[in-house]
Amino acid sequence: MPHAIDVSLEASIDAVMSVQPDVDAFCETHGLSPRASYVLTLVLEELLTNVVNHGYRDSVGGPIILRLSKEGPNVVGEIVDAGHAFDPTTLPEPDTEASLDDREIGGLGVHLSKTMTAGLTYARIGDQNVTRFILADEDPPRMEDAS
Amino acid sequence: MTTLSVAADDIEEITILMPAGRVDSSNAKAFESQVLQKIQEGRTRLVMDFAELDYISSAGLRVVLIAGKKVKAGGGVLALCGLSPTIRDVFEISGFISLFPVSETRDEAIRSAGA
Repeated sequence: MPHAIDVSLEASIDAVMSVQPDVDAFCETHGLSPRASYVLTLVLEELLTNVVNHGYRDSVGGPIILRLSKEGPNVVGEIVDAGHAFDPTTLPEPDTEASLDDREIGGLGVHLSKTMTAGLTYARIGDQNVTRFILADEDPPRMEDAS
Repeated sequence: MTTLSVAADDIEEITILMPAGRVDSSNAKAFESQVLQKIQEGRTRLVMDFAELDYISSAGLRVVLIAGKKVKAGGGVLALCGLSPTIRDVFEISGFISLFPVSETRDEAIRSAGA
Protein backbone atom coordinates (compact mmCIF):
# COMPACT_ATOMS: atom_id res chain seq x y z
CA MET A 1 0.00 0.00 0.00
CA PRO A 2 1.39 3.41 -0.80
CA HIS A 3 2.50 5.23 2.30
CA ALA A 4 0.17 8.09 3.14
CA ILE A 5 -0.17 10.51 6.01
CA ASP A 6 -3.41 11.17 7.86
CA VAL A 7 -2.76 12.85 11.18
CA SER A 8 -4.42 15.18 13.61
CA LEU A 9 -2.18 17.94 14.94
CA GLU A 10 -2.62 20.32 17.80
CA ALA A 11 -2.73 23.88 16.50
CA SER A 12 0.67 24.99 17.72
CA ILE A 13 3.96 25.71 15.98
CA ASP A 14 5.62 22.90 17.93
CA ALA A 15 3.04 20.37 16.77
CA VAL A 16 3.36 21.59 13.20
CA MET A 17 7.12 21.19 13.26
CA SER A 18 6.85 17.78 14.96
CA VAL A 19 5.32 16.24 11.85
CA GLN A 20 8.55 16.81 9.91
CA PRO A 21 9.97 13.29 10.45
CA ASP A 22 6.75 11.81 9.05
CA VAL A 23 6.97 14.11 6.05
CA ASP A 24 10.62 13.15 5.55
CA ALA A 25 9.66 9.46 5.65
CA PHE A 26 6.87 10.11 3.16
CA CYS A 27 9.33 11.80 0.79
CA GLU A 28 11.78 8.92 1.16
CA THR A 29 9.14 6.22 0.65
CA HIS A 30 7.98 7.82 -2.55
CA GLY A 31 11.45 8.65 -3.84
CA LEU A 32 10.63 12.33 -4.16
CA SER A 33 13.37 14.49 -5.65
CA PRO A 34 15.27 16.78 -3.28
CA ARG A 35 13.47 19.75 -4.79
CA ALA A 36 10.00 18.24 -4.38
CA SER A 37 10.86 17.22 -0.82
CA TYR A 38 11.90 20.79 -0.07
CA VAL A 39 8.81 22.29 -1.67
CA LEU A 40 6.50 19.87 0.13
CA THR A 41 8.13 20.67 3.46
CA LEU A 42 7.93 24.37 2.71
CA VAL A 43 4.29 24.40 1.62
CA LEU A 44 3.27 22.42 4.69
CA GLU A 45 5.17 24.73 7.02
CA GLU A 46 3.69 27.83 5.41
CA LEU A 47 0.09 26.61 5.28
CA LEU A 48 0.06 24.95 8.70
CA THR A 49 1.68 27.91 10.47
CA ASN A 50 -0.88 30.18 8.83
CA VAL A 51 -3.67 28.06 10.31
CA VAL A 52 -2.04 28.30 13.74
CA ASN A 53 -1.36 32.03 13.47
CA HIS A 54 -4.48 33.20 11.66
CA GLY A 55 -7.16 30.53 11.53
CA TYR A 56 -7.11 29.73 15.20
CA ARG A 57 -5.92 33.15 16.33
CA ASP A 58 -8.95 34.04 18.41
CA SER A 59 -9.77 30.63 19.76
CA VAL A 60 -8.18 27.74 21.56
CA GLY A 61 -6.32 25.79 18.91
CA GLY A 62 -8.45 22.91 17.75
CA PRO A 63 -7.00 20.02 15.82
CA ILE A 64 -5.59 20.43 12.34
CA ILE A 65 -5.96 17.41 10.07
CA LEU A 66 -3.15 16.83 7.62
CA ARG A 67 -3.47 14.32 4.84
CA LEU A 68 -0.78 13.55 2.28
CA SER A 69 -0.81 10.94 -0.42
CA LYS A 70 0.93 10.21 -3.69
CA GLU A 71 -1.32 9.88 -6.71
CA GLY A 72 0.73 9.00 -9.76
CA PRO A 73 3.43 11.64 -10.14
CA ASN A 74 1.66 14.06 -7.82
CA VAL A 75 1.67 14.62 -4.11
CA VAL A 76 -1.81 15.55 -2.95
CA GLY A 77 -2.14 17.40 0.32
CA GLU A 78 -5.15 18.40 2.36
CA ILE A 79 -5.29 20.53 5.48
CA VAL A 80 -8.55 20.70 7.41
CA ASP A 81 -9.17 22.89 10.42
CA ALA A 82 -12.17 24.13 12.35
CA GLY A 83 -10.96 27.66 12.99
CA HIS A 84 -12.93 30.67 11.85
CA ALA A 85 -13.30 31.04 8.12
CA PHE A 86 -9.84 31.80 6.87
CA ASP A 87 -8.98 31.62 3.20
CA PRO A 88 -5.19 31.68 2.89
CA THR A 89 -5.46 32.43 -0.82
CA THR A 90 -6.97 35.83 -0.04
CA LEU A 91 -4.09 37.05 2.07
CA PRO A 92 -2.54 40.10 0.38
CA GLU A 93 0.25 39.18 -2.01
CA PRO A 94 3.61 40.69 -1.22
CA ASP A 95 4.88 43.28 -3.67
CA THR A 96 7.80 41.35 -5.08
CA GLU A 97 8.79 44.30 -7.24
CA ALA A 98 9.16 46.74 -4.37
CA SER A 99 12.53 48.20 -3.49
CA LEU A 100 14.24 47.20 -0.26
CA ASP A 101 12.98 50.35 1.48
CA ASP A 102 9.40 49.86 0.34
CA ARG A 103 9.25 46.12 0.73
CA GLU A 104 6.90 45.09 3.50
CA ILE A 105 7.69 42.28 5.83
CA GLY A 106 5.29 39.37 5.58
CA GLY A 107 2.94 37.69 3.12
CA LEU A 108 5.44 35.34 1.56
CA GLY A 109 4.15 32.03 2.86
CA VAL A 110 1.04 31.76 0.70
CA HIS A 111 2.77 33.38 -2.28
CA LEU A 112 5.45 30.67 -2.18
CA SER A 113 2.82 27.96 -1.70
CA LYS A 114 0.74 29.15 -4.65
CA THR A 115 3.70 29.59 -6.96
CA MET A 116 5.53 26.37 -6.15
CA THR A 117 2.54 24.02 -6.31
CA ALA A 118 0.45 22.96 -9.27
CA GLY A 119 -2.80 23.95 -7.60
CA LEU A 120 -3.72 25.46 -4.27
CA THR A 121 -7.40 25.66 -3.43
CA TYR A 122 -9.47 26.64 -0.45
CA ALA A 123 -13.04 25.78 0.42
CA ARG A 124 -15.16 26.46 3.46
CA ILE A 125 -17.14 23.27 4.04
CA GLY A 126 -19.57 23.46 6.94
CA ASP A 127 -17.55 24.85 9.81
CA GLN A 128 -14.24 23.70 8.40
CA ASN A 129 -11.51 25.25 6.30
CA VAL A 130 -10.28 22.81 3.68
CA THR A 131 -7.08 23.72 1.88
CA ARG A 132 -5.77 21.40 -0.80
CA PHE A 133 -2.68 21.44 -2.95
CA ILE A 134 -1.08 19.37 -5.64
CA LEU A 135 2.64 19.11 -6.01
CA ALA A 136 4.07 17.65 -9.20
CA ASP A 137 7.50 16.10 -8.90
CA GLU A 138 9.20 16.87 -12.16
CA ASP A 139 12.74 16.15 -11.11
CA PRO A 140 14.60 12.86 -11.05
CA PRO A 141 14.33 10.97 -7.77
CA ARG A 142 16.92 11.32 -5.04
CA MET A 143 19.98 9.29 -6.03
CA GLU A 144 22.61 7.81 -3.76
CA ASP A 145 25.42 8.49 -6.18
CA ALA A 146 25.26 11.58 -8.31
CA SER A 147 26.25 10.70 -11.85
CA MET B 1 12.81 23.39 17.86
CA THR B 2 15.29 22.71 15.09
CA THR B 3 18.71 23.52 16.49
CA LEU B 4 20.15 26.58 14.85
CA SER B 5 23.85 26.93 14.35
CA VAL B 6 25.19 30.14 12.85
CA ALA B 7 28.93 30.55 12.38
CA ALA B 8 30.08 34.15 12.46
CA ASP B 9 33.40 35.47 11.17
CA ASP B 10 34.62 39.03 11.13
CA ILE B 11 37.03 39.96 8.36
CA GLU B 12 37.96 43.61 8.81
CA GLU B 13 34.73 45.54 8.49
CA ILE B 14 32.79 42.61 7.05
CA THR B 15 30.89 40.06 9.09
CA ILE B 16 30.13 36.70 7.50
CA LEU B 17 27.21 34.76 8.90
CA MET B 18 26.81 31.14 7.93
CA PRO B 19 23.60 29.50 9.15
CA ALA B 20 23.81 25.70 8.98
CA GLY B 21 20.95 23.26 8.51
CA ARG B 22 17.47 24.73 8.65
CA VAL B 23 15.97 28.12 9.36
CA ASP B 24 12.24 27.69 9.87
CA SER B 25 9.33 28.84 12.05
CA SER B 26 10.77 27.08 15.08
CA ASN B 27 14.13 28.87 15.12
CA ALA B 28 13.82 31.99 12.96
CA LYS B 29 13.57 34.18 16.06
CA ALA B 30 16.93 32.86 17.26
CA PHE B 31 18.42 33.59 13.84
CA GLU B 32 16.95 37.08 13.97
CA SER B 33 18.43 37.71 17.42
CA GLN B 34 21.89 36.69 16.31
CA VAL B 35 21.79 38.79 13.18
CA LEU B 36 20.36 41.86 14.89
CA GLN B 37 22.97 41.53 17.63
CA LYS B 38 25.72 41.86 15.02
CA ILE B 39 24.05 44.88 13.47
CA GLN B 40 23.60 46.48 16.87
CA GLU B 41 27.33 46.01 17.45
CA GLY B 42 27.84 48.25 14.44
CA ARG B 43 28.48 45.54 11.88
CA THR B 44 26.69 46.84 8.80
CA ARG B 45 28.66 45.13 6.08
CA LEU B 46 27.22 41.65 6.19
CA VAL B 47 27.57 38.53 4.13
CA MET B 48 25.08 35.72 4.64
CA ASP B 49 26.70 32.58 3.27
CA PHE B 50 24.04 29.93 2.70
CA ALA B 51 26.36 27.15 1.53
CA GLU B 52 25.51 25.07 4.63
CA LEU B 53 21.82 25.92 4.57
CA ASP B 54 19.59 22.99 3.65
CA TYR B 55 16.25 24.71 4.07
CA ILE B 56 14.75 28.12 4.67
CA SER B 57 11.09 29.14 4.83
CA SER B 58 9.34 32.51 4.83
CA ALA B 59 10.17 32.85 8.54
CA GLY B 60 13.85 32.92 7.60
CA LEU B 61 13.32 35.13 4.58
CA ARG B 62 11.67 37.61 6.91
CA VAL B 63 14.90 37.76 8.93
CA VAL B 64 16.96 38.34 5.78
CA LEU B 65 14.65 41.21 4.81
CA ILE B 66 14.76 42.79 8.25
CA ALA B 67 18.54 42.50 8.30
CA GLY B 68 18.78 44.03 4.83
CA LYS B 69 16.67 47.01 5.83
CA LYS B 70 18.59 47.64 9.04
CA VAL B 71 21.94 47.30 7.37
CA LYS B 72 20.90 49.72 4.65
CA ALA B 73 19.66 52.18 7.26
CA GLY B 74 23.13 52.02 8.76
CA GLY B 75 24.73 52.81 5.41
CA GLY B 76 25.86 49.24 4.88
CA VAL B 77 25.28 46.31 2.55
CA LEU B 78 23.91 42.79 2.98
CA ALA B 79 25.27 40.38 0.37
CA LEU B 80 24.16 36.78 -0.09
CA CYS B 81 26.06 33.80 -1.44
CA GLY B 82 26.01 30.03 -1.60
CA LEU B 83 22.33 29.64 -2.42
CA SER B 84 21.40 26.13 -3.55
CA PRO B 85 19.22 25.96 -6.69
CA THR B 86 15.97 25.46 -4.78
CA ILE B 87 16.80 28.11 -2.21
CA ARG B 88 17.67 30.46 -5.03
CA ASP B 89 14.24 29.79 -6.54
CA VAL B 90 12.58 30.53 -3.21
CA PHE B 91 14.45 33.85 -3.05
CA GLU B 92 13.63 34.60 -6.68
CA ILE B 93 9.91 33.89 -6.27
CA SER B 94 9.95 36.10 -3.21
CA GLY B 95 11.50 38.92 -5.23
CA PHE B 96 14.61 38.92 -3.07
CA ILE B 97 17.22 38.41 -5.78
CA SER B 98 16.78 42.00 -6.91
CA LEU B 99 17.00 43.33 -3.35
CA PHE B 100 20.50 42.14 -2.51
CA PRO B 101 23.79 41.42 -4.26
CA VAL B 102 23.69 37.64 -4.75
CA SER B 103 26.72 35.67 -5.82
CA GLU B 104 27.97 32.12 -6.07
CA THR B 105 31.07 32.49 -3.97
CA ARG B 106 31.86 33.96 -0.61
CA ASP B 107 34.72 36.01 -2.11
CA GLU B 108 32.37 37.75 -4.50
CA ALA B 109 29.93 38.40 -1.67
CA ILE B 110 32.70 39.86 0.48
CA ARG B 111 33.57 42.20 -2.38
CA SER B 112 29.90 43.22 -2.72
CA ALA B 113 29.56 43.82 0.99
CA GLY B 114 32.65 45.97 1.05
CA ALA B 115 31.66 48.07 -1.93
